[in-house]
Amino acid sequence: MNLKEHEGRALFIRYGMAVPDGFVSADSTAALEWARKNSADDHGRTYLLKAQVAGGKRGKSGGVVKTALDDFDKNFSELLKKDINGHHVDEILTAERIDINRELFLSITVDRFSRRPLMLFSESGGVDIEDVAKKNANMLVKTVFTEDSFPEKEFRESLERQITEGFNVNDLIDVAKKLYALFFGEDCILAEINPLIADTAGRLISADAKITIDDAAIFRHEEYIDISVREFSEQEKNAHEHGLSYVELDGDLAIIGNGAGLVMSTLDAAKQYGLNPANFCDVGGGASSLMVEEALKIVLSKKRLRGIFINIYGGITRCDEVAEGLVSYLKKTEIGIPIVVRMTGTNEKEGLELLNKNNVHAFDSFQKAVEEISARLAQ
Amino acid sequence: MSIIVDDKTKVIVQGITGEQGKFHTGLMMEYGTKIVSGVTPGKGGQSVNGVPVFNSVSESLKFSPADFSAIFVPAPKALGAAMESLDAGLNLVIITEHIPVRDTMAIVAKAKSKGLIVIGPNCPGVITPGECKIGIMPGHIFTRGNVGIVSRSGTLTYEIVDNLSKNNFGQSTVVGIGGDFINGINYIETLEKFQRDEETKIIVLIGEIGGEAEERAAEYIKNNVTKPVVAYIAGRAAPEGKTMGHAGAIISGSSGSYDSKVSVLKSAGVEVVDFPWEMAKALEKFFLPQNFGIRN
Repeated sequence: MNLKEHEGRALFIRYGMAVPDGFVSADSTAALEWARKNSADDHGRTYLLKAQVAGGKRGKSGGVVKTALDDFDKNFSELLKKDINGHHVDEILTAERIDINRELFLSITVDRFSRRPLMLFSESGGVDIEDVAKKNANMLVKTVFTEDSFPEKEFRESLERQITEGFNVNDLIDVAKKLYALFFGEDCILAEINPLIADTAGRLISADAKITIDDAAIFRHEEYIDISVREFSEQEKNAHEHGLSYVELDGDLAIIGNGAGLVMSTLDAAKQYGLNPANFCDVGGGASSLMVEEALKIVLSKKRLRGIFINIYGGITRCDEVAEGLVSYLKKTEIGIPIVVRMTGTNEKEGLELLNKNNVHAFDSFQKAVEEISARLAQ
Repeated sequence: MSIIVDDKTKVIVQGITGEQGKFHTGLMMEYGTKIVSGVTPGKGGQSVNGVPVFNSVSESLKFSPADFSAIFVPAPKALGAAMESLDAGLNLVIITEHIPVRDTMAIVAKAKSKGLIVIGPNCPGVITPGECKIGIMPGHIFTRGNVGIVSRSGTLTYEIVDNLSKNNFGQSTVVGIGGDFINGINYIETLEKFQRDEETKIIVLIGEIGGEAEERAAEYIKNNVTKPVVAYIAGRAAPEGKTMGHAGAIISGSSGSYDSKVSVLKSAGVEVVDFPWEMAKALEKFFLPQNFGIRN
């Protein structure tokens, strides 16, 4: 799950890192009051209004606005009406502006190849780090390590090739150590500071936070439970509660299968046959007939569907169990759209017989089934 | 010959008294896997399918030595269970889903330092048909032969194995490396073993979107693998930024896309099929099932 900037900022504070002064609110009056108080000694001071939406590239999409106190109210209200990368803005972080000397980049991510954490530092921050890496790989310092100890010596040595004017290297190492503690302490997949600002007084200030928490680690961090489901659609929430893996897509062919790889492959095959998947839905291994009914209920609650395609490879999952769930659902509910089932593996014969007896088009071949649903929807 | 496991491999099951552990211990034994003992803390003295249960791995190893531990314990306790077996010198097959990345990183680091193999997490396991199955695959669809398979997905592997077995392409060993964000044994480490294995004449690689593992594998194949490789990659219809069931199956920005993987694999000389049911046909180009030689 991706945290919003202000949630990451709160973690930075908790782990002892310096951040710009700021105030989170959806209320422009409260925010302005905070800004006025903060500007007591200097009424010409300007602020950054930062839309609190999860995900990157916010700056490029107009999600960050510079404002003076005079037009604060107007800018705040306008930002609140915006839609940033498909997200509605419901909170704004008002942040004091820092006198920037240099903008740096520091992050820890998981290197999927070496299967270790990877620290990235660049003397050229404030921009998209992928662009920096493309232009000049030397400007990006990479250090891999394990959880046992922070690789201070290695990190320090790697900084020798970087321009470190404008800040103290020991201060940078201090920030890096705190980020390392945060990364493991919060079970992060990504903990990124961009920009890490060296201000004109030489202080290092973590001015933006991009944090991704590992969803699998929620059992250690109950405080993230609500955050982990807030981006879910109604169907995704329902599926999550029932232990189904469901992803909303924008097509009109509902899809159910067992196993992530097979469901992906089913979406692919449907698309290659000119169809448009409405969802990804994996009932997992060993699904019961009740689970199958629940899955049907969820995928079919979407509007404007044209058909449904079910693809089961029975390993631990039993085909007759799936067929029972299907038939029981269809007896209770008039779905009104074509349904095609592919079913093979454990107890395939019993499953197919039950479906055919109840007039459900069922095949043991993946290819024949996808051809059939494609033909039915072309009519 | 085969890789990783054979008829001499001795296995303990951690989490043997749980529902999944119990069920699959029975199926593994039915398949012929040598399950020597089980471990569940606090349940020592019981037995499951005639297999004695111990409180700890070290106690179980005093009863009988073993090579592998199959881990079925729930995610919150998987780290402890895995570390216990690695400390005792056992290789691992981790079936458990939803293990935090931080825990998997610690498990992999420990295994590397001890020179041990970790298969998974979140995987169907490993099978050498007719000799040994550690995991949850439906044993009856596998047949013995000369195709080595390495895959990130369970049911998709069964789908393709089914297609191969029905067309007389048996398998030497099938390794499910798992669908998580990071895994233990990876494509390259498995390809290296298949390349050395005399029984394996051709390799099938089953991949999916997300990460760069297929791209890295392609680079390795180009420089090190002389046997033919045929691949299938799932996820061409997946949108960017959404996790497709497997934690590892997510396209972020330009990284991990279907097109990138397929183009790199093709440029490494790997044949890529469009649909899983085309696998056997694609293998026939290199190798007829009735004679164990490579055509051309």
